Amino acid sequence: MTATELDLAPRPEQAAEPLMTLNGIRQEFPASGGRIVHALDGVTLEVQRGETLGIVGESGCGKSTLARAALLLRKPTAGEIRFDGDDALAMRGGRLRAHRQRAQMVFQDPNDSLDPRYKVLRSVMEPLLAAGVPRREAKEKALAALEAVGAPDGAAGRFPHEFSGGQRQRIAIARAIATEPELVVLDEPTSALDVSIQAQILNLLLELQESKQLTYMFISHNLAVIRHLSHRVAVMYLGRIVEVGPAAQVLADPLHPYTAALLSAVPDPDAGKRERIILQGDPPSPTQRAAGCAFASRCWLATEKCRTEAPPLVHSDVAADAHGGHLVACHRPGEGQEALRLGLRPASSTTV
Amino acid sequence: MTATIATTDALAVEDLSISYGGGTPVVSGVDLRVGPGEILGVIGESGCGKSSIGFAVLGLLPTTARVDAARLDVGSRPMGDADEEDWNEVRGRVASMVFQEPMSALNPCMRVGAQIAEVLLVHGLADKKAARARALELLRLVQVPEPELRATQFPHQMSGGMRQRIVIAMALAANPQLLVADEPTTALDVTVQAQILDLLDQMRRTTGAGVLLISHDLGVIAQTCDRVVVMYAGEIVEEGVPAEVLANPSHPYTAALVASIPTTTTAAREDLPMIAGGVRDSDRATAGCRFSARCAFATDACAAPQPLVQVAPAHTARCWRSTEPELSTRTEVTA
Repeated sequence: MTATELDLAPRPEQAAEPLMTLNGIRQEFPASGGRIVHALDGVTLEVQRGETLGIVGESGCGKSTLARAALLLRKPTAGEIRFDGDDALAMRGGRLRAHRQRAQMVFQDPNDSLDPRYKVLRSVMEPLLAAGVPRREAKEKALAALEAVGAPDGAAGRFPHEFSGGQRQRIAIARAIATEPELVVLDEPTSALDVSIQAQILNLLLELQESKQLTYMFISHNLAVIRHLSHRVAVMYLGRIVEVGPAAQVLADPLHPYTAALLSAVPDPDAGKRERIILQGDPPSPTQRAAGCAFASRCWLATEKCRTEAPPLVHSDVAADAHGGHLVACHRPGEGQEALRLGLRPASSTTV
Repeated sequence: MTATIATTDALAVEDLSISYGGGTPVVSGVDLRVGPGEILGVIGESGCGKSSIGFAVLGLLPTTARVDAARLDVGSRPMGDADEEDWNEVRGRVASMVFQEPMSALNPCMRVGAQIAEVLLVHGLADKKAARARALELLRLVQVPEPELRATQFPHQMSGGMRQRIVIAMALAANPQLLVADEPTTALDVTVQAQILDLLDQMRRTTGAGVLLISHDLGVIAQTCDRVVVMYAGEIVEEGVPAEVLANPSHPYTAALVASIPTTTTAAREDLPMIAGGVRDSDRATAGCRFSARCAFATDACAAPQPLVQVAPAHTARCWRSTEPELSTRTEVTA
């Protein structure tokens, strides 16, 4: 990326220092044949205190890799992570353990954080004990967390398999909030659940955020869920952030053609049949780093410039509020959505 | 493409019930009809019996399952008393299946061109040369780029969306009358899902095959299907045109289900209506409404057997209160 610096104009409502800043995060993995997978290709993001930052994108875009990097579960290849002003990547030993209490994770599959051989209480106590909390206090806090998430009575003394998927996810959330963290990263927390159970978990997350002043980084491929929970949304494509901004703006007036295509591809029960952009082909392999815009190979608006010159993530004149923190990495911002609005059919659209 | 546009129904099922090992039926009293070229959606949550129906109409349930039906016609074949040999003749030829996970439907050690050709060879519908040519034709039909190259590749060399196209090509190889698609896009990304749904829609038009589309996703159903049945605890609780059913859900369960899903029109960051409790085994055994224990509108009368009630032309609901005007705007869902 040519520009990883955010184009930050003063915004009164977000004048406070962000809880976490990711700066130019790169994550590379070796692949067969000496190739390199660029899972994260220079991601710069701020997470404000008390907000829900939604991260949306399709498989392989790097959203889960970003979650793991943000929680220091895997050290990024390059970049800087500041948590509450401190250099998180420099933390070691006791400081790192203390930090882990402040940033927790909820996975898609609750079984990933609950040991099937442990009773629920032990799993929920585990992060507290790891942080050096005395056993009695840890037990109290774990029981309080289970109560806060509405786990069934007596849940503490039972095993994970005795619960339904929705209840297990509640228990996994209890484990994540037991250490009273400031940041909770949620990676597709409702994707494995039935929709009526999903509603219960989303309501719980909203309630916990309010009562415990939590900051969420909410990762999902489900745009409706992202829209429901997020204050701000970042859209990822092939390891890069292509658009970020207030949820209402990004999801109603997308500036990047990929965001427009993604939004129009979501089957919405309320919208019925309508004009859709159907993207051709699949995302290119993350082993081939695009010289220009990563989306250019599938973009119906792409020009020569798009293929050779990576667009920086910046404010755009065509945004509803040109300095409102709505950033886009595109040489032709707003044109994709504009075409849909005017009823012009982009080459790759169909009405179904 | 030499399409034989069928005139008989792709699927006609009456009073279907399915049980396992002598237990409470997981599906009971289900009537379904899929016309030629029609897409019928079956929607419901885990355990509602929707996948069991998909397997039953292809004779794919395990031997421990007991399937009873007053009528089970697949294409023009009555399969009510069919044995395994009859099913072998029907599967792949009269009716075929598209699974959720394309990798589980494909042989990882066989080139995809050969896998598609195999369908025709097994049914004796073509010789080797003709089958190979037809495989290429099918790859073109499902819009696989560079079909000659792709035919020589293995499944692992393809993306999920491309694999699902291959599975659809295999399913269509013998020009079946019925295609059963069980969550065909659930494992795919939304932009790829849009491609596959678009493809299914085109295929039913060009081949005239009827499609039974099983999904938990209301959006997919709304966008793709001509008609939809809503399943709850093994029973059909509502049936109609998707736009009508989703805009005016007339069974309290459908209403609660629709309300619980965040969409473009739900208020952001506000509590979603929830459905209290869960399905118990005893709900499947009750003579009355199976949803009544969780329903905000339940009365004593709900303990009586509930027939499907006509609420509008071509729109029925299994609820005696469904035609009451004051219940038509069902915003009041229990939390």
